[in-house]
Amino acid sequence: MSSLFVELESGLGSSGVLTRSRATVSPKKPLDAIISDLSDVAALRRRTTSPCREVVAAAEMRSPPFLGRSVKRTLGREEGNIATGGERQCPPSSRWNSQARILKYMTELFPGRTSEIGELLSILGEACDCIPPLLLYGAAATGKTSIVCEIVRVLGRPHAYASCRTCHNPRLLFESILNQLVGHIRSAANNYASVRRCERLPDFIEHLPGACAEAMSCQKSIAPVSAPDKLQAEKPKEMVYLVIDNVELMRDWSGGMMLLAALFKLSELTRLPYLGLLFISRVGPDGIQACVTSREPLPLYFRDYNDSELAQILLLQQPNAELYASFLSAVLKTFSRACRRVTELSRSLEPLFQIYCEPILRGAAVGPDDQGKRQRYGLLQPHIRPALSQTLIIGGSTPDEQGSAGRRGRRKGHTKKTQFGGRDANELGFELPMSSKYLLLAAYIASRNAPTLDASLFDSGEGARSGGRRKRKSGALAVEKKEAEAQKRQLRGPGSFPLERMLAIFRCIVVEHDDRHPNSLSHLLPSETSQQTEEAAAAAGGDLTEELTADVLMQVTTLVSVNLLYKNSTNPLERLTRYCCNIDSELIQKIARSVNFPLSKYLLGG
Amino acid sequence: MNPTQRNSRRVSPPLLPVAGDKTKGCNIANKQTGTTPRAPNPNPNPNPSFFPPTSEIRGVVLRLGASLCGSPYPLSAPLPAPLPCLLLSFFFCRLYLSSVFFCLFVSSSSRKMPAFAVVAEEEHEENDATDLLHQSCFVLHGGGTAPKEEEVQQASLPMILEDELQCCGMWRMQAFNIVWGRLETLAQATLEEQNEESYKEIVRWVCNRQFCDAQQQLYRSAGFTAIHAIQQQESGGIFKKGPHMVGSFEKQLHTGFLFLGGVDLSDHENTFKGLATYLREHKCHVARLLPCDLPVRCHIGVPLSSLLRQFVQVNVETTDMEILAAWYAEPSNSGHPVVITIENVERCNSAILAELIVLLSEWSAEIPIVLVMGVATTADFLQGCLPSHALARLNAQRFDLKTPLERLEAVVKAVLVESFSAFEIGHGVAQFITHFFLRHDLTISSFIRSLKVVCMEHFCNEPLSFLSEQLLKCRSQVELENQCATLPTDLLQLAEGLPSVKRHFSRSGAEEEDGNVCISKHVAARLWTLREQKQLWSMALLCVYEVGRHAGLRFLDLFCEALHTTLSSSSEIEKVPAESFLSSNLPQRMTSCGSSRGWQELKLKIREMSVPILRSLLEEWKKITSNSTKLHSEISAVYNKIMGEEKLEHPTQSHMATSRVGATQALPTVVLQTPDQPENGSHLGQQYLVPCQALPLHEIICFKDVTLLKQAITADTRQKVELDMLGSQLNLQCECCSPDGALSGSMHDTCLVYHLSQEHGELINVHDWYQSFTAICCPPKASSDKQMSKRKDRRKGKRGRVEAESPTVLVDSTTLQARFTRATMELQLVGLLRMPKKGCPDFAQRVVLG
Repeated sequence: MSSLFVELESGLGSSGVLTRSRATVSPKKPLDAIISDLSDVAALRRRTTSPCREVVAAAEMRSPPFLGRSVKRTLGREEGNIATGGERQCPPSSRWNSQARILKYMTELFPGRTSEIGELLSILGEACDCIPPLLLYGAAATGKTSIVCEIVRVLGRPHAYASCRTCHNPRLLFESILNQLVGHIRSAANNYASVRRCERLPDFIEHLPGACAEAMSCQKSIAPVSAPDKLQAEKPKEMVYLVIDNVELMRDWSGGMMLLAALFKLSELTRLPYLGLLFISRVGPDGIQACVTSREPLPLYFRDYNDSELAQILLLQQPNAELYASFLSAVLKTFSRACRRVTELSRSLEPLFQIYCEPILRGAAVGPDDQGKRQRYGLLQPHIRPALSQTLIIGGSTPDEQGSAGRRGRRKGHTKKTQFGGRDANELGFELPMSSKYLLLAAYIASRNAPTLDASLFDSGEGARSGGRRKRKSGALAVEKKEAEAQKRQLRGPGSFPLERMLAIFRCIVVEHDDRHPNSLSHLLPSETSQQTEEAAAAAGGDLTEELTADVLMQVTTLVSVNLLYKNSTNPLERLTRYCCNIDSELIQKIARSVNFPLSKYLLGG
Repeated sequence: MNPTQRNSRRVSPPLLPVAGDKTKGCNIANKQTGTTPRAPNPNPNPNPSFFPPTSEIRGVVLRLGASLCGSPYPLSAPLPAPLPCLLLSFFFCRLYLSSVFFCLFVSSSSRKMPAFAVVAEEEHEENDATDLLHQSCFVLHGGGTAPKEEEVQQASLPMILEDELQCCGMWRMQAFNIVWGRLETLAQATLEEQNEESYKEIVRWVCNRQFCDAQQQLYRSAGFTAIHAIQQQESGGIFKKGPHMVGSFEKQLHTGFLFLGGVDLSDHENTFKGLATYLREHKCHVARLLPCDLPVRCHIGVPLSSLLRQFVQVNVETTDMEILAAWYAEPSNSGHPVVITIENVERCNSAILAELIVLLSEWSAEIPIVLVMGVATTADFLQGCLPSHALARLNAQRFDLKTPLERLEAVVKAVLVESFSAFEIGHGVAQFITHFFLRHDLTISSFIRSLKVVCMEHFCNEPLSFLSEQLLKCRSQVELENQCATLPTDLLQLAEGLPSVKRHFSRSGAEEEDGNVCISKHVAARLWTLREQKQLWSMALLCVYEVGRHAGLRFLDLFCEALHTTLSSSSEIEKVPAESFLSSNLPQRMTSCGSSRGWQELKLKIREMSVPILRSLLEEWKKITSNSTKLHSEISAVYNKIMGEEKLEHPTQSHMATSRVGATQALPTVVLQTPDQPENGSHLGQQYLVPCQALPLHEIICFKDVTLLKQAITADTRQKVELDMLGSQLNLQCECCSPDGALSGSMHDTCLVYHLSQEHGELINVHDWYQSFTAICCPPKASSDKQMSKRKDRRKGKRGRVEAESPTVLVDSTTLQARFTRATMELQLVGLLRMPKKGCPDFAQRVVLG
């Protein structure tokens, strides 16, 4: 009975607590025995889940102070050892030395992540320290993946990295891990095949121990006989780490939750105590808690960066740090309220920085003092608001050259763009045939107005306009109410309508609109407007007012295919296909303007 | 059941209301139904057509359910849901132009739909009543294979004249092939030229991106090299680089948005193909993702497998990006950018597209992936459909293709203005095509197709059109004369008898000379004039366009106006335009008014021009007119005059004014000769801007029949089906039915049912409908009997009915029900009817369009 307790303790050590395992497991005990012990422990755990959990939880509670201590120790030794540089000559200190160096290197590389890096380093510990499965979670772009990969790489531990995004099904995940462990390189010679075919989890479990052994031997052969090897040889095994990224995506796979649960206890399933599992996820432990029997991974949270950290990170990449710092002090607060992702921030700040730099590039005498700052901010201010709402930044059509000439070019491109922007207010940006424009207008009207309104709007051409006027004369309160209603309707989004209704409206507006047009022929200016009227005059006698041709119906499909109209079912045999207008009010206003269509008259409440 | 009726049911194709019951006396020609396996064709009347025979047409079987026979309300049975109205209309559209042939209706009046056919096939020959409905209907579509080259060479067009020689048809076919081939290659070459600029820009950008990336990587990693070196020592550098490089926290994907300019994407099938080949020429690896690679509800593996297939060109088991990375790592592949083009982003599933973007951006550090996406609408629209985390990965660049209008202008300029292809279009036709383009389609492909239709129609309808081949081939007038001399006499006579020639002769008062030699000489000379005049005309038009460009006029409008015959003719030359204008309706007249107004405006514009603009304009004109010595010298004279005045002294205001006046007096006379100013250098406008349509013998190379074109291009909607259903007697012209449209039992069931449905509103009570159907179909006695018995049934209940009725009546009512059911089902299939819904099972809904 007492032996069982010892074993239990040892098992727990390997699975839950990182430090005690070495103390309890005697180095002379054969590996097989440990593994069998472990499996017993696993079985026992399954039977008595709750007490074990408590133990694990207690261990987790206990670990932070210890970790803190280790970090402190590491930091304390840092100054003394960096100067010497001869790590290989003094084995015991080299370990700490390298730890400290790594911490320094990492914090330099990833500013604002000192605590996370320190914690991670101390959890990983030595090469032979067993660790529980780790779950690193946090929002996007908080440095999870980069830090883990860099630490494992810098530590020089054998590892495999697999992202569930790239490996979009279990097979790819398994094979990718095996390939990396074995060091298999795909090439044309092996027909880009992976080292082993491994489709299901049992296959993976079967192949993993072999792959791990190979990874370790490979590691040893490449980094041969360093000084502390004598000690290492006596140690049981070195750890092999599996880093699995984007774990939250696995939930969408078929059977993904089960797979995830299995992966959490992979070291038990494969009976490999020296398997370190690092899971990276955007979702916290609650989100990927698979099932009751699954083993809870040790969570490690990566918090969002705060403003000063963001500034630090953004400054990392800039050549002119001083200028950029002053720029950041002006805009960062505004932007960080909307978005804290470093990637997106740096993207959306880039064009603003160009504007900020513009006076300096022009050679204007803007000093680095406060006045200059204020001056530049004044230039910048009108651009901030539009930049906030812009997620997609498209560069101009002229590719820039390097250097100052390129910058000048960019500036030119920018002014051109603003000119275009000015014109874009009236232009569509893409061309539509006349019938398509009217179809879209009809669709917009159909989706914004209630079907019961159609009769009053379209039964007589005059009725609509006079009715509208009468309504507008009502009291201020009613007007307010109506506006509120219109707003509500806008928020509710477009309604759907059958094709017949849209076509009926189409015919109505085409007939009505084209009737009115010949009056405007009196403008005889040789400009675009006269062209338009001429065109409209031609349209008046042209096909549009005639019968609905099949070409109009063809246009409907075209519009559906580019998502300007939305069809609720793709099945042509379904009974009631309803359409929906997928255009925002801004675009439809442009369309209406391009055909001189009084859209507001046809919309209830303007 | 009488045997004749049964027979009739067997042969009548279920979907074809008009090709109906022969036993009832409907003598309709089953046009082109050569493949009808069982149905005998009593009155074969094959229309002359140049369509492929229907034997090439493959069939799709729509089997109509046979289980409907027994149920009293068969419409509520689980049937295939109605084809939505659009489906049919879309098939109907462009029947003539596209290769899709959908057979539903034989319109005996329309010459354009000869290939429509329905093939009825019976599977069982049993006399069992249920088996009568066991029929299949073949829905036909176009033949898959194009006729082979030799066949085309030997094929001839149908005869136009009764006594036409066999060889004429062949000649015309040959001429068509040559002329059309020339036009088509010109158009394609122009389109490619239009795209080339964008291609160049994209390639330059792609190469620059690669260079920039390398630079940035170098710069970024520089700060960490010191630590790096030590780390490399320490770890031995054994680990492969993961997808995450040091310092590259921006996993950005270089993306070029190629804005296509129009929503219709049929023009851009070749655009991306051309882009791919262009990129490959510049040593890029290219893969194209089509919208079908990114379908709705698919897995990310689908586009990836397509990518791998295209890049790696080896069948790989898994769809792994590692494979692509490994492929790229090979020395033969590395170093060149990897370009992935996604056509028509709007058609792709946005979720899977976002996933793909994120995935590719993760690997962009290892593989220099560049994405080129074709966008039909605007960037705002993309911003709306892609999630922000995907958008943030895009390092986007904008490229614009030319707009459809610009490209059409270029094509028109190249095909119809600048080159002589011995084929011209008249003013009305040009106007129709451009209006169709602006209003309905806005695609170049449809423009080219309609041009092809026009060309085909021309060679089918003009007996002498084969001469255009000679006109194109001959290098001199003498050669043409020799060719014309070999023509048979009656053809020459025909040429002399053309209305345009007659008009000219009567006007000039020249005496008609006899003798074939003279006639052939005349013909050759006139044809040669056509050719020479075309050159002058195009030159003049280009000159006018130079002015019009300053005035903001569109080339297409000027082109149409320049084709107008009244423009060139001063009052005494030609009072009556070509006969197509006799039928000219309002719009044409309006635009003709507009044209003269436009011309006036142009003249005013020249007067208003400042000297530098005028000078550049004249320089352009000199370039354009370099082929014509006379015009060139005149323009040079004006140019020199202006230059001289400018050089003479520093131009003061007054001098400017005088020079301008001098120029403007000279200029309009050069090109813009209008009817208003005949005294002012009258010869030029008449000589130069004379459209082909105003010349004798223009019929040989000029097509101007708008109605033919309209008939060929504009497709009818389902309304046509409705109208034909209602007027089936007129279409069929059978003897059994009265032509005034009175309902009778001899009508085809479907037509009858449709007629009856008109009496109802939108909702049709199926029971009433059926009752009226039986009342008309059955002889009055029988129907009254039946109704009597029906009334009795209601009292007795359902069970009692079966017992009460005599067996003969029972069979009759069953057949009637079956016929009624089938008729309603056909209506439903055509999309004129919707089945009863759950809410109101007794009512069917009528679908009305327009």
